[in-house]
Amino acid sequence: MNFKAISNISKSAGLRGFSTSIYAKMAQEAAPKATNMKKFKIYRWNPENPTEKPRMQEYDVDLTGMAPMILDALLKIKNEIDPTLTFRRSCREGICGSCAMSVQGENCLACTTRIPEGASEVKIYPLPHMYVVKDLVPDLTYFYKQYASIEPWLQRKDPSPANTENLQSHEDRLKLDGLYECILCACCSTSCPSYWWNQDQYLGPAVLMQAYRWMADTRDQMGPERRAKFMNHMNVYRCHQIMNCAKTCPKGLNPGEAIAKLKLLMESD
Amino acid sequence: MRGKFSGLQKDVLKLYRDFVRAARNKPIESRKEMIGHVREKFAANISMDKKEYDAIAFYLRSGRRKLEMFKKDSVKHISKSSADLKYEIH
Repeated sequence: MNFKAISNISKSAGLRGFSTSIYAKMAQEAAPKATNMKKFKIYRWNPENPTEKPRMQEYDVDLTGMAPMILDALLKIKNEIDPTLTFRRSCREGICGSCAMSVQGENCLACTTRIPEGASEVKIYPLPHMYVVKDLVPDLTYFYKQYASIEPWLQRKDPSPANTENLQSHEDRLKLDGLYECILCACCSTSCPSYWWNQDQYLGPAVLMQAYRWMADTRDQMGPERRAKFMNHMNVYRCHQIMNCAKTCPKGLNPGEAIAKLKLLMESD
Repeated sequence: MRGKFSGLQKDVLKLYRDFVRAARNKPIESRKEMIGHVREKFAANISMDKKEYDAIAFYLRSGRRKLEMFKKDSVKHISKSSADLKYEIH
């Protein structure tokens, strides 16, 4: 049914818009371009020779018949050209957050980012301003430590009900939408200039959004105590609403807004 | 007067000292071997040019991470496998 509809449209478009000679010409032009090559420039650094400086390595990849994402190209390079290329990947569908990297200067998940069609070459770097473990693998140890420091779990003063879970109304659950979806890929934190300069003390958008996620949870009763920890110049107030976080988030979330709400809660305490 | 060591060199020495201190909390029978292992790891790069800042900083970072593991109470002994003396913990 669908196929029929599409073919009808193309037929009518053909009648209206194009003459057959143009089709013939397009076919002629397409014929010699059977190989669809794309140049990839990828950051390489090997910890086994740390005195060697990082370098950009070029790979020419034939895109014909290939799946369209950056991760597919990386896998093709690893499988067919250079097995030493190192990167993290797992789910290939944007839910694990492993393959976060900087493509054409923007942080993204390689698995949900298309290979840019217009660009003559594709530049791939690891997440910016993070220590590199190898090639495209950033060292997220400190990021995870910061996440642990906000105690990202449900904390209550009253004991939980004996035989049921901590129940929540539908409306209260809705308050968590736009917060709980975060996969901690670190795209936002590593795109934030404030986080670049003050990584040691500023918690960064990803971690702060999760901090707010537990404050917004009506089942959690430790909100004021959680906020008391943030009462200093660095942990939260290094956020200057630059909003790179919201621009880069591969899940379409808005950490900047969550931090604004967090600041509002801190003011009302 | 400028000090005898650069900041980076002091960091390396501090890391070594921290390892030796951490070894004092280990069982007495395995202490010698554990410190021997640490010495060996530091000695492997002793000839590194002091101007290789990036490389030294990298070794420092990975060393600090290994120190954290080294300090854990569950780590009681380090032994070499006789088959491969050039093993690495990453």
